[in-house]
Amino acid sequence: MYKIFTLSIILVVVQFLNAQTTISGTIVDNKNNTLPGANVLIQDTYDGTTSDIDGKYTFTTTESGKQILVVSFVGYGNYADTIDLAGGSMTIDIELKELFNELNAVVITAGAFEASDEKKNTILKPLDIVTTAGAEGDIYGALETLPGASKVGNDDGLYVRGGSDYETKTIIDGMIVNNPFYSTIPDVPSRGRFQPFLFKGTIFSTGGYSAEYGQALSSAVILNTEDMPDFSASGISLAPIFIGAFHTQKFKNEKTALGGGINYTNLALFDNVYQPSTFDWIKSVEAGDANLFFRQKTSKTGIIKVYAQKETSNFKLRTPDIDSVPLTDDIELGNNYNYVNASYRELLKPKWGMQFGVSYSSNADEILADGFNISRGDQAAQAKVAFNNELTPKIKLRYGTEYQNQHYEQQFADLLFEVTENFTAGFVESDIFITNDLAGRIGVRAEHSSILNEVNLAPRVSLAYKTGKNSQVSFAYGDFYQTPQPNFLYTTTTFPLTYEKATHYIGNYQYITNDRTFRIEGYYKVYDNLITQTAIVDNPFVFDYQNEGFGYARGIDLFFRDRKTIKYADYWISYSFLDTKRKFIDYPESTTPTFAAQHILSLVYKHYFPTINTQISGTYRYISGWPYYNPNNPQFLGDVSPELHNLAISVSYLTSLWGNFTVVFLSWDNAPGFDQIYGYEYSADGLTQFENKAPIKSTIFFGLFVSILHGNDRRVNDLDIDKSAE
Amino acid sequence: MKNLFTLIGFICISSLSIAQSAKFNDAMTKTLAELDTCKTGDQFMSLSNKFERIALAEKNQWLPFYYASLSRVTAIFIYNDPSKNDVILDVAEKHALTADSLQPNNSEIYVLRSMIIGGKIMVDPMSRGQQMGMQSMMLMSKAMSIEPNNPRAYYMMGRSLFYTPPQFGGGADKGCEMFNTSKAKFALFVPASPLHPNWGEDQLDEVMKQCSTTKPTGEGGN
Repeated sequence: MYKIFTLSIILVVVQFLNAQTTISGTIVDNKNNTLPGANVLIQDTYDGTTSDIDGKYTFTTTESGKQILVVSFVGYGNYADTIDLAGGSMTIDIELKELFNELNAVVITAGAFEASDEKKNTILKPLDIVTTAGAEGDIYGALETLPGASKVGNDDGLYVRGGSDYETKTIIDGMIVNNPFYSTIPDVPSRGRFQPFLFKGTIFSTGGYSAEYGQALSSAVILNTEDMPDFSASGISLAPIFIGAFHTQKFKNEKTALGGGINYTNLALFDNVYQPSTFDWIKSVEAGDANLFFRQKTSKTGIIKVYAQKETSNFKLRTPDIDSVPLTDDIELGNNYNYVNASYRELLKPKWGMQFGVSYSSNADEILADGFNISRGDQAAQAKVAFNNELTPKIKLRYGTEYQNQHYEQQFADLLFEVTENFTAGFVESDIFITNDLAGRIGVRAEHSSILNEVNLAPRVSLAYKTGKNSQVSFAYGDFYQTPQPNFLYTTTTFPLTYEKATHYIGNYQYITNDRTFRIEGYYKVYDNLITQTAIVDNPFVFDYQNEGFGYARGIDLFFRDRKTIKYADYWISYSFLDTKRKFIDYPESTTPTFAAQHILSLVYKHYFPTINTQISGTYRYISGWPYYNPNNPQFLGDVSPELHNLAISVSYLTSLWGNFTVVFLSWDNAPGFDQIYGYEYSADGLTQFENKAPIKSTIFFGLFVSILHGNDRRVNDLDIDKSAE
Repeated sequence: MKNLFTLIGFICISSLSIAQSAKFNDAMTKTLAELDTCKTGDQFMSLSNKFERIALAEKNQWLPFYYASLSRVTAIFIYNDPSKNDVILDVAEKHALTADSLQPNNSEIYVLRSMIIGGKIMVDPMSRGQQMGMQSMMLMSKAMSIEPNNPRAYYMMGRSLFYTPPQFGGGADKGCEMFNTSKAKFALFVPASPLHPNWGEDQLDEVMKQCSTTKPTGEGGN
């Protein structure tokens, strides 16, 4: 009895006299980098420690026997292993494997700039686009400050890497947009129709874009509209030439949002102050538009989005007739534009998503030139469905098909030209993450045009390799086809045509941290089957069209952005070098086209002054000049316009009106008043030279924007503070 | 004989379970004391890991998850390097949401979640400010409505107002008014246990020093 009692006492005592084990070691990743701050612990106990700055850890535990040692560190897979604790010391060195995390993985970037809030590696945020001086809230004005892109003279449209404006397409929610720019006539500048605030993200592809898109030889501006707004909101914009208002209501069920806006523009006041030098207004631009916005969440993962916009505008002006100097031409333009875009997105199964969309647009221009009636218009309808599958976390598949019906018409007095196109296309593309550092994309696109009655097959391949924690290289190769422009299609039954083609080879290196971005990209485009036209004697309206044009474009684009060095300052520098020649339309030989400048430099600087809640930004732009046609020069397009400089300054002052967030802005384009000559035009006899330049040298534009968020039933000012405690 | 073994066994088992909750209380008390002594960001990150170990071992206790999260939030303010915030706060948010699932409708957890969003705004105030600012505000309002006597909710709301320019609905006056309310509530506040959140009064006193120079107007001639 005494022995048993002693034994049990000993047992109890032994129970409380646990042996201590000391565990130490070093924690590294699969590249042998040490990991500080990792949590090392014995599972189901409190025992453990944090690895120090050298990745070393040491701790003592009173646990014994078989235990599980766990190490966790954000971004890496957990380590867990069974160990036997028997007192004394143990050394356990641990290697953690980096988790495949899409946010940190290599991103295929060749030929693309992404602006969105979602991805971490974006180069421009949507707000960057709106606050860039000189852009005046126009998406394309802001895209101009990125390398490879340029507006040319007074022309609407974006010219990318030696490509003409028709080679760039705008895509909203996956569907092509006809007429993304306001209607205008040559020499009268224009801007994009869609407000930047509509979009949550922009991908500006300067080449090598996804097989999901086509019909753009050079580039795609891919815009994605906002999904469900977080709050109901209203906004009012006011400027001497513009008044607009919108309201978006998010319903209490948190699943429906409905809104709309109206805008009215009248440039009369502006034209009184700024008289254009190259023409006279008879009636200033007057425009009105209304838009509708609808969102419905159909499930946790599904959403229906509808956007509709209706616009009308008109103006009348008087331009000098360059062929008979004292004479003038009166030109009047009236435009009606309708656009509807509806899409439905849903997750059919956990890793299988579907996007379905339809869009319709109609554009009609009525032009009266000296009493002579010209009208042109187009209607386009598109339906598209695309699926995306995550076959494994490292292999993704995207595929889909689309159908477009387009009708174009042009009427000169009694002469009507029209053409209808039934277009179908399909694509398949796969993103493969071979490792966390190496990713590839391979795809193919097939298109059929009813007018051309031909199928094209376009392969697209990209590769990206992460060379360091913040750096990567990326390559892209692809074929891009485009149906010739409508002007050439009206008579194509007589002259069978084929797709214009461009083959892209692109390579880039980029270094991106949270605050600094550096990117250098080289490209080589080979053009083939470009439309050539030769006049047929005695018939001014009919030409002989063939696909006998060809050309190349090659160059280097540089981009550097810094948000760290200067506090509250954000600046970026873009530089493009372009060498391009082509023979197309009526060019007698292959030469540098009229829209290609050899050097373009943009410098954007934004500085926020917190004490006065003001942001001041400036954009400097240098363009080395564009070739222009001089009938007196035997060398075709042998003359280049003078160097062009521009400095735009804008000031945004953030304040509040009745507790609502308000921005007062002022922008001054061409502040120094540089002479900006885009080129020259000559009278028919070649003797008189006219400057082709901006109608107004330097302009100031100001206005205010009020944003009213309806987030709560009660705003901060009205919070029910328990006053009894005071 | 049998009775003796049973008795010893019973003592061992019950002493074990007393040891377990005592162990939790003991570890939490010791680790909580470190909340006051830690100085550097790295120290707060290690402290967060300590709370995380307790949290993972216990599994059903919301307090260690809460403090693991709070330590990380404290760390980012000391580091003062917004580029690091997202990585650190993603884990803080995970812990806060776990605490929330274990103790829904807890005012302290809503205050914590509001602070986490505040930390995320610092990464890119120009882009994130408007939207996330609203979210942070709404979480704090919820904290206040669940527990109108939570001094920390008023303190953090006061901070937010104090450092927001008047143009956006903030200002020193509004902030200080909120601070006064918070101070009064601290005087009356009794935590549910020594382990329950009871922080903030020292920091409130520190920031209120800036208030003595901004008296609310409308008091008439002095």
